[in-house]
Amino acid sequence: MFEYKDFLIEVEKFPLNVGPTHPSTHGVLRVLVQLDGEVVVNAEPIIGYLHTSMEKYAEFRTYHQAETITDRMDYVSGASNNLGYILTVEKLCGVKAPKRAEYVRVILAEFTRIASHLVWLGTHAVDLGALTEFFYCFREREYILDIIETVTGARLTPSFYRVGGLAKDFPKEFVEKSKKFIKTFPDRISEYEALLTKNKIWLERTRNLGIISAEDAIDFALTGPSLRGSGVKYDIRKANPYSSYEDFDFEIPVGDRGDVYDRYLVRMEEMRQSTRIIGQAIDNIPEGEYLSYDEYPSYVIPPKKRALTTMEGMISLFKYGMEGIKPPKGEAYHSIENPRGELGYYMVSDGSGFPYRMRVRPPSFCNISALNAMAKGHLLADLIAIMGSVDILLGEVDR
Amino acid sequence: MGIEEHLGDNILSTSLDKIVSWGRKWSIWPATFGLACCAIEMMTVASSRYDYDRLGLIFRSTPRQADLLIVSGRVSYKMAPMVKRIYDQMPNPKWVIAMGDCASSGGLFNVYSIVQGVDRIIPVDVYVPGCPPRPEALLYGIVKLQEKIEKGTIKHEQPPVVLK
Amino acid sequence: MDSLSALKIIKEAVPHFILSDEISHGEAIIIAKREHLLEIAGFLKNDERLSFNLLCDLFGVDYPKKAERIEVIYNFYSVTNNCRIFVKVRSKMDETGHPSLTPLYNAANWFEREVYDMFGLKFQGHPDMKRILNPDDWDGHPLLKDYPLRKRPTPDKLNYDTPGYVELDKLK
Repeated sequence: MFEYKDFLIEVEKFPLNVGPTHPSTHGVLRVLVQLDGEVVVNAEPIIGYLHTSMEKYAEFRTYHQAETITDRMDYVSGASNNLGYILTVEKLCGVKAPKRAEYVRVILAEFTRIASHLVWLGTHAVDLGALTEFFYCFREREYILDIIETVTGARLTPSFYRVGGLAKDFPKEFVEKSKKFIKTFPDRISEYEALLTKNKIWLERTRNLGIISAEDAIDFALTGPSLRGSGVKYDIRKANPYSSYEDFDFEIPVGDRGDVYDRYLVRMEEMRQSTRIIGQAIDNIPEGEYLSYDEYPSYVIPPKKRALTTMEGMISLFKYGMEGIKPPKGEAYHSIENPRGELGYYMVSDGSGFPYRMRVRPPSFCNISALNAMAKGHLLADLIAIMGSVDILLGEVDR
Repeated sequence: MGIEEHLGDNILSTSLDKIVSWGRKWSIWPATFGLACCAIEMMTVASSRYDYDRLGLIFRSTPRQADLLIVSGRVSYKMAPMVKRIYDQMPNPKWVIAMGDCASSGGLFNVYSIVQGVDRIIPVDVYVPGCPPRPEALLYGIVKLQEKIEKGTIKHEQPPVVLK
Repeated sequence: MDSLSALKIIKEAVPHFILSDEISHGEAIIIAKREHLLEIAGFLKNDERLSFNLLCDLFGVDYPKKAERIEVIYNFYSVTNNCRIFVKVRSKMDETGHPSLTPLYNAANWFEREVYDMFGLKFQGHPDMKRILNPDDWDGHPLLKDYPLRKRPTPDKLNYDTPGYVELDKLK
């Protein structure tokens, strides 16, 4: 008599190449998977297919030109990346933006957080077979991009912040549009959740998958929703508030098991909290200047009205355009809470008009480095779910 | 289609050209292939507000079933062989849209790791400017490609590859 | 706890590992001795008062005029104490004794590979020291100050033998 095991062929560690153009790798990630049957033994991410040498390129651009690089790095949440960069340069120069500018920055950053989570939710759901979610998410995302466009003039790549404030004041319809959006958006989140949160298929495909414990998550330097899904309450908006985040009342959602489903829940709740922050900020935008030119005339661009009516303003605008700003010699680090985690910038200045070194602390880079630890022992089909739940963005992984 | 080889460019095939080109024009299937920022806008074109299904475009997940390659974003030297390979895997007739400044000319990123325009690797039919282009711009690019296809013959001559 | 009190604790406990220290824009920076890097990182991680358990970042800066031109900066963060500290270690480019932090932090693995890719500094004891962002056969280390910004490979350099690659040479 033959037994079942006699028919099995021994294949140890069958190699399989996922990517770099696989539809569910969200870009150009390549994962070299080793399989035992259908179980993942080892999943090694290979990155660098979108390497754009941004850190090198920033050394050849003035401080304000380098800002345009940062939003092409994490292209789903451009305003958030600009914020981190500008705050670091402001720290280097010792400049503080006026309250009005800080509030607008917070609103734009939170809008991009929602937009980024919507892209994540849409693509993550498509990977797991829920196609409707994609159309729902991108419907609301278009409204957000419209709002961002009314203020900044661009959809994905705003580059709207300046050292010491904003490029210009926001138009009137920005407030109306934002208020209209945040009034309806919580219902829309419930709409998304109605499709997924208690869906049997969704639960089966996300629960108890890709579990990473709190200690391991910290060891791999995970940040953002991937870390909070494991139950660590670390959010830079609360830990080290920047740009007036201390004025707003919001909660930090955390998971308890650290699986794909928990990370999903954390992000859904974060969208609600972001809506809350926007609601508080939009009601209380202070009156006043949007640039702190009066306090720091050597670092801040003069407002357009001043530049066109006064002689000093005109001269400093010219100087600003021709030479750029020259921060004092020194080093500064500032980190913000990106939709994906802690996005930090370390700037080294040698006193010239160009950054000596711009280092980006990339959140997705660290998050994807833990993929092997999360995916080991799971089925190949679940690897896709785990990859989606980490919410990587290859532009920022590779820089 | 398989009949291209048997039909020459002669007077008999001219009316057939029109029918075939019309058919090709309304059934352009792009490969699901995203690189960078422009890929997000490419996804937006597929979503509810812009809905490019009305132009007959359906994303195919494998290059073997696709006849349009939208190069959406910057191509690095590490990625360049893959882009070339995907293009080679697509069956004839095939077209390429270089979406965005980076794919068209290197754009903002005139740096060591970026190929200065994807036309150095594969022949490009339509360039869409913008950084990133708006979804409307991509739709316009697709309409321009349709006009180009309409003028084509049944025996679609593939432009030669010149590596620069 | 803030960075200054953390710096005070470190200076009292392990003064012989430290060359100097400074405060820059509110961040405490320690310049440590290279041979004691593993010990100081172990102290930062395991000391109960400090517990810097998150290796937030690790990167290099190139100073071509100095003898030890690569400055590796470690960014430690303590999630429990909400405190951040920077440790700088200087090395020559061909230094072989720069210790790897992979035994202590898993996060150091990719960061150190990136430093090797960008600066050419090899870490001693790293399990998998190879390039991460650039292709494996890339020429030079791009973030060095003497590497030209626009040094691109010529088409004849682009032949990859790895499966999954196309030889661009043959397409001419």
